[in-house]
Amino acid sequence: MNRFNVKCPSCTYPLDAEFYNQTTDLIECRSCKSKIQVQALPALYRKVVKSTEGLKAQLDDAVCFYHAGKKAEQLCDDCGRFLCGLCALPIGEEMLCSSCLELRRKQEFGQHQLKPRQMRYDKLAIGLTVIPLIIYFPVTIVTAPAALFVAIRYWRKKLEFAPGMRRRMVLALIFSSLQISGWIILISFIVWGVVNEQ
Amino acid sequence: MSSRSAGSMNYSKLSGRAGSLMAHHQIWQGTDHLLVVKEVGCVEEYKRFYFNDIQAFIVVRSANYLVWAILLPLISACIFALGMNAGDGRPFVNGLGIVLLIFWLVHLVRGLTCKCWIQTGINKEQLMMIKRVRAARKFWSRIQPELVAVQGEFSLDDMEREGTFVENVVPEPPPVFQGDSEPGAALS
Repeated sequence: MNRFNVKCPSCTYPLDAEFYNQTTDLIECRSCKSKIQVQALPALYRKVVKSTEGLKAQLDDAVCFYHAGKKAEQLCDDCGRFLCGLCALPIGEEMLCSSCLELRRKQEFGQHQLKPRQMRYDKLAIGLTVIPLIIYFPVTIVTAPAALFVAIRYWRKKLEFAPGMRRRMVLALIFSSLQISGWIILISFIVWGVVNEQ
Repeated sequence: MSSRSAGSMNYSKLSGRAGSLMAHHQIWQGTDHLLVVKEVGCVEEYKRFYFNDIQAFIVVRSANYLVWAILLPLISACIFALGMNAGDGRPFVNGLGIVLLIFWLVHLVRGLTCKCWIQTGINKEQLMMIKRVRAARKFWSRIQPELVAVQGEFSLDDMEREGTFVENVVPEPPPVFQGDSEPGAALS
């Protein structure tokens, strides 16, 4: 049995390598009988160049900043610290240490490729205008100004990965302005009616 | 599938949005990686799969196609039967049945259903946005040239050479003491 065999996602039974990369035929898992198509790539069996345990340092070797007993194999591209195989984190084309990675992740904008999550202010703004209108429209007296504030506040903050952001911001501005105008007209009518009655 | 720039980074869309009311999934292709986006409310969570790290793309047929292909006409038939005695509500009930039949036809036209995974050295991520075999093939045909350009062609021979286990050589048991000499004689 080859140790690199792809395993069935349903039952984790190893699938025969002879059937990989077939365009038409489907493999039938011997265990769960699911029909499976596997497109395999050389990364499946390629040797890992980076040491996963960290090499032990000899007497004259430079050592890792974080592990005094491990040999330095890389330099952090940000802070320049010596790093062992364990501490060097390849991020795209850069090599970073964990503290530099953490610092970059904390930056609110920029460095999209390091971020695990991101707040989408355009979706927040459009949500504040549309959802209350559908669920319970009197709430828009609060949410419309909030949406307007979010749209204006984050208009200039350009996120690196934000498809459709400007379009949503414009829609949020239009909807929230219309809702605010509607409330102003409604309140004006009520006040005008009360004043006229007196 | 559209190809356009998303923000200042060059991403092209590989799938539409799929998921529930609260969470959506989408996949984008970057210059050197795939970006799986999970959208929960206004927060987007990202998972990046670099072309260099992707080991396999796995498609497993699911039974959803068959289940809905049988269930939808049955349900619409029941609704039509109910519509016979619905009186004034007959047009509404029949309309509902017709809508279900349209759903059924769309389901048949879209083709077989499946579940897809991307495997890397450390994890196996299900691609929730790809649910049809046709979409999976389209997705693979789109990313395969990029993956081959980065990694090269898959070779079964290379895989066998690198990864076939060498069978453990079971040590032979020590020779059984035979003959009429006394135990421990060999030691002396």
